[in-house]
Amino acid sequence: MSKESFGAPGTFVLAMIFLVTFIVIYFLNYKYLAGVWELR
Amino acid sequence: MSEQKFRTCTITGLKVHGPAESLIKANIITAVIFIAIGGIAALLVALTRWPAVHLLPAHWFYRILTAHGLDMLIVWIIFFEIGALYLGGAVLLNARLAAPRVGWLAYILMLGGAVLTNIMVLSGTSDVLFTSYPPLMAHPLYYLGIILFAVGALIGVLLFFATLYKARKEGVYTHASFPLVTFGFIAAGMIAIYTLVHGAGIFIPTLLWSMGLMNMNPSAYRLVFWALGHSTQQINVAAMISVWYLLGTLTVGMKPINEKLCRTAFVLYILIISVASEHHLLVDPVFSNAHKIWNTGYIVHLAVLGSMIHALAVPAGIEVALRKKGYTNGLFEWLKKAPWGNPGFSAMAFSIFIFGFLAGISGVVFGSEAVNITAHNTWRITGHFHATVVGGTTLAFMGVTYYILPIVFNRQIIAKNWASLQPWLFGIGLILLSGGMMSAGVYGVPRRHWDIVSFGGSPFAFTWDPTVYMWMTVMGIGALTAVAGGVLYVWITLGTAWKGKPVA
Amino acid sequence: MSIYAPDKVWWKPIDREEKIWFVLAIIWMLVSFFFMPLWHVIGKQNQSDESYRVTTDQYAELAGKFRDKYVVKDEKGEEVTINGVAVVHPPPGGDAYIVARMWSWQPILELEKGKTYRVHISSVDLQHGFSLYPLNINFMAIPGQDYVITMTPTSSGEFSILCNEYCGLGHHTMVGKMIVKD
Repeated sequence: MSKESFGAPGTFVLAMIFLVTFIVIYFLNYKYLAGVWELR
Repeated sequence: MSEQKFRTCTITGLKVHGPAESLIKANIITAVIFIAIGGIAALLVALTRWPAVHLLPAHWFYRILTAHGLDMLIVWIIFFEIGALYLGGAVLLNARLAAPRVGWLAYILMLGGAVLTNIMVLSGTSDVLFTSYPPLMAHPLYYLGIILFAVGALIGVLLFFATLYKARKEGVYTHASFPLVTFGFIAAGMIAIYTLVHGAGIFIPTLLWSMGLMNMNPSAYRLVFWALGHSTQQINVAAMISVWYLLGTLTVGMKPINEKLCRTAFVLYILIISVASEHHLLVDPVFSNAHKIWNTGYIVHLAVLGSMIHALAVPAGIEVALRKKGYTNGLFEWLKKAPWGNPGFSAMAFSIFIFGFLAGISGVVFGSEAVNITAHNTWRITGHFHATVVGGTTLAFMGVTYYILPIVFNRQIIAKNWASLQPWLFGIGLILLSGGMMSAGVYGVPRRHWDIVSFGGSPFAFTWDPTVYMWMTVMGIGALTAVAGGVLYVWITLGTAWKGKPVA
Repeated sequence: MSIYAPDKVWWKPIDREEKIWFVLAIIWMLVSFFFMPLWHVIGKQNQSDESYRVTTDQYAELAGKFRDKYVVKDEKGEEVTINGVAVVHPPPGGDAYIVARMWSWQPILELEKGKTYRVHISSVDLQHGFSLYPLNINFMAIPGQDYVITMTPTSSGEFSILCNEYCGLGHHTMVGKMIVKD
């Protein structure tokens, strides 16, 4: 199995879409948090 | 050992041990009956929270919500998991179940505990919701029921390990390593043991407290309770991913691309995922910021890494298998031509999508130390865990049921067309439900709240941003769609078990 | 196949694509983790590190003293109330106490925009959830713990406090108020 190529290019693209979505949503939430009162 | 009653499955060639078969049947059917009860409760709860309907009076809303949480999060899912463990332990290894009588003891304890707790909730003496945070107190028998259930489940898990041990010792299973699915179930079983021990660890003191025999510190309760309450969800994750690998094999003949990586990811779950429970305490007093960051950050991110590995490994394995069938054009021909009409496949696909995009991302985000300030106890959380445990685990379990019915029950699925539709209804319903909840939660809509419109007549009542009502309608439509899918599931499963034609 | 025994040796090298994904995932996990402590440096909205063990009676007494000292009075010397709940104006920079009980939030704090307050939150009976609308700021109010959140309101107007932790059959009626003046 290891000698063959990975053979799942479609999944790799989907995984990249997932990662980008993840990163965007993560930082959007910090932006949303930054809109509330200052808290310590 | 005289009870060598085996039947050979005509689909998989696996040898099915008779007593194991009976126990799997009992556990799965009981699970389905409880998802039906929990599903009726789900419909009532959703129709009450949908402001346009607002069905139940307040006390019945909280009562039914208590039953919904217990019957779904604990009873349905753990009964199904115990059935799945017997399947992964005995059937997949062609082995016998080590001690069927102990299995029946576990079953009776679990059933007795579940029935007792349900009776106590419906009697109106235990309106404490799933979390039963002290000083809110339920009837002592409510706690006793949960303890009985947890002890029964613990016995069931130990029986699974005993079965693996016997399969080895008696020379039935001679390969060096267990199959990946069994390996995943071992991970789930190990997580289940420390989870259920925590369950006893919190509910035995709580039982004594409810009988007036000891004091209870509310903060300490929260810490230990979530070692049960959240860790049960980690059993679900490990079991769900094992079921993905199982369904991948059964539906398209998938092979794990790299067993080393898949197994490492399961090991990360076993080692690390338990501390994830502490993200429930991010906006609690008592714990320091350093502790909160450590437990919800560094450590949990290693468990998330495990999920990231599976996130590529499972769909990649499916793609490779489908490309072997000749769907090699472009990037996505395999996806378009996948067997979408096979309920096992569509359930798995929806489960992977919902668990990844809705549940996984929101989980990591809401579990981030500071972000949790804007998420804790809002409907964002409810949306998140409906995506994990319903859209992810429950939907995967529904998908595998369509294989358990022929393999273990030896019956052909009745109403195949309805079965093809079922995961679609349930999956799309869940996306709407969970998306609606998370979006309304952004505006601060609380979870577990009977009346966000007039606040039961409070003089301080206020009006929400109107967008909230739109999202609540999306939630309501999603709930109805998912319930329709749930009704189909219960009907097809019970109908097939009852009246389906024999496979061979 | 996942349901059958694996090859005898399954500890095999990882493909290039899977390696790339694994490395990207590790990098992202490190970033998302280190952003948490980093937010304590660059962010202005952080968890409180301050809480004290108290009995519910002690907390009620502290809050009562605070209320009596800073309650707002009109020109006739009468206490100002809204729906029967006293309005209290704590000194900027000082302590302010909020009491959660079945099923009310008391008193109504009147704060000044841009000033910093040490807002104490606790419950004198069951567990409650402090949730400030429309900001969506949420903290637990747990009996036995005096939770001190240092807040600086950056917007003014009238805010609602709702309870988002189930606290008995009147839970949904538990609404309070907070006022921030320019």
